[in-house]
Amino acid sequence: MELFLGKLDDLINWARAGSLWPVTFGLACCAIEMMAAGASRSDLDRFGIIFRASPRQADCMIVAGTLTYKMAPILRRVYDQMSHPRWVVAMGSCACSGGIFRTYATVQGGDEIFPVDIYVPGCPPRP
Amino acid sequence: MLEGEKIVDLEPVVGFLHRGVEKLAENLNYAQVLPLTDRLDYISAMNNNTGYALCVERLLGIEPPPRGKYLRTMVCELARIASHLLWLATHALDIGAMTVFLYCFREREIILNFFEKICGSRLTVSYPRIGGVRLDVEEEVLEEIYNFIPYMYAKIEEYEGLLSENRIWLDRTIGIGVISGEEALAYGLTGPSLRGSGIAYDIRKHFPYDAYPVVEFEVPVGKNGDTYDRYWVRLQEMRQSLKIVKQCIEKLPEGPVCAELSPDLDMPLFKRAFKADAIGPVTLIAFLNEGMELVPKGEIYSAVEGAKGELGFYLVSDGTGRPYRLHIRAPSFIHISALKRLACGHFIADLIAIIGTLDIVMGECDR
Amino acid sequence: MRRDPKYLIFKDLLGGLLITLKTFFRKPVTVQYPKERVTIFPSFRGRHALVRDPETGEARCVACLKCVQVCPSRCIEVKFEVNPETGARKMLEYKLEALRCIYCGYCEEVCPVGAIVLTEWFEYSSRDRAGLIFDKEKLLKNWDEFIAKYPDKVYTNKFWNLKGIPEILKPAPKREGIWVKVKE
Repeated sequence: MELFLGKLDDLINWARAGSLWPVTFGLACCAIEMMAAGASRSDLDRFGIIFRASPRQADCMIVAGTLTYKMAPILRRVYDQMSHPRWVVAMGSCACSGGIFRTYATVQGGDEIFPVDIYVPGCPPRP
Repeated sequence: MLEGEKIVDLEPVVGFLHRGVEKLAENLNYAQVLPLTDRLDYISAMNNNTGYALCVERLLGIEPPPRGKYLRTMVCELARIASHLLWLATHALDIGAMTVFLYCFREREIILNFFEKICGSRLTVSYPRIGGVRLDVEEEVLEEIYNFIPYMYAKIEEYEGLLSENRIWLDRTIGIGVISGEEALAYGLTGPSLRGSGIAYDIRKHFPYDAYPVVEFEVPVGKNGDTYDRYWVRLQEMRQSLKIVKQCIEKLPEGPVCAELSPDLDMPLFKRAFKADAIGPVTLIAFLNEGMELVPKGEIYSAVEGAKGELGFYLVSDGTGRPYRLHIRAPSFIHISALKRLACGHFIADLIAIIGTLDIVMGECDR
Repeated sequence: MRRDPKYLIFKDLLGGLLITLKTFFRKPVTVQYPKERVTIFPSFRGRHALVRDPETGEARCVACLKCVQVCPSRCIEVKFEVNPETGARKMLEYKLEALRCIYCGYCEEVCPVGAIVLTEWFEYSSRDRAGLIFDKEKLLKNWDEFIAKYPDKVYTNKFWNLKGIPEILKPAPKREGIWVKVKE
């Protein structure tokens, strides 16, 4: 039984690693590069990465673009709706730390709102 | 407000991407604002940069050299094609044509590759500068762009073959979001959205800048002002843009790419002590006290034909190295105000087609 | 239109399907990323690095603070000391917050000695914010990693404002001279 459960765990982990379904949270410029990453030239479907529009079906959230204070509660709600285990990728300078927009309207880094697992710098990061 | 499936009333809520670009620009000098304008309409950043650079040039009284003007025109038109391709891709994807999305992105990647070769970045380019462009383009890249033009013509044929006669596409677009010419003017629509309604207003023709007085092109005009006409106008505009790019490469003159008097990147807040040794420090201080202006005082508004419509920059200068006020007349913001007029009376599924056809970019809309 | 015989034989849809069929037999454009690499063109603005001078093994930076002044997002911080005898500056600490950087390339354009550069390295990320705040050692290490791809250790970029490059090849706003006419 133990062996079986262990094998099952391995299988589930393998499946998870092989098909990571991110929820798209495209906010600004980086969303265009995220689309480009999903489109013809660098096809993300090859890795089993299929963009989902619903947070409940996804296990990873890509926050692409500038996060403003007006958008932050919505983003937090989407994050809360995701099922465990969940990861967050902050894509681009703006989502990571506010970037150039050190102003009154911009959240200075996504990690003020939710835990971020991976920071990808770049403005925008190329696919 | 809905009545069954029908839209009776709606109100667009903007401001979810308000980043304070205009306020931020007041704390940066004229050259440093340029990267900020990349992030307005991030799909065609070249047009934004050119518009801003043109505005500052008119304020400072700088005239870029001819080669710089031609190069700027060329990259602007390439950016316009890229923008229209992305618009077509997402618009078709919203309506339900996945293939066009993949095809459009295939060609868009080629254009972005050109941008990467020219200036080192794909989306946020910062290539046009105040008084010209950043760096000269190599001959090989020009040749590649020249060879790309016939290929792109064939690809536009392909999109037309996929969409223009497709019965689903026709059903989804003809008669949706009709707006007459007078009403479109009253709402302040510009660019392809206005030209779809039959009014041939184009800043490239009416208030020409850069190399547009020299090149030949036509302004395509629609008839009915519905979604299909706007789609048709944009496809024809891509053809005209290719024509302009071709002429630019053929007529490209030799010479410098940037004006002699163009400002430094690390532009000081006040007049720099250039001839401190020659005239002595005392005279220099006298200069500053007399109110030596770094840039001329005054206000200026200048507009370019962006990919979405009339993109205007309004600058107020108080003589220092930083703009006192920068206002951006963003076409998306004005287009979104016409959404209520366009969408009322249609079904909720048609709303997607109407939003797509206005070609709204939120980064520009909320600034 | 619906009575049109072309409509009845599905000419419009078949024409579209013919195009997709033609595309099916063309060469695919997808880059099989981990196996084959996307061509990054020289002058791509990627990860930052401080150029290691092959003679001294140190950074070329002379602490003129031009990059600090010009950076639009204010992400560079330089500490330096002044030699009281000669008046020369020596850079002690160079801190660059890569998460703030917007990769506009202004810093490499204004640098008079070509010390801070943006390399073509684009595959990098971190699990925390601290990992992407580059200090002097990290920036020099970035340069070593980058230059290892070039076996002869010689690399110049057209965007670097090095001495010895003809004036016409330099980036635009680097010409000398008074840029606004002095009112006489």
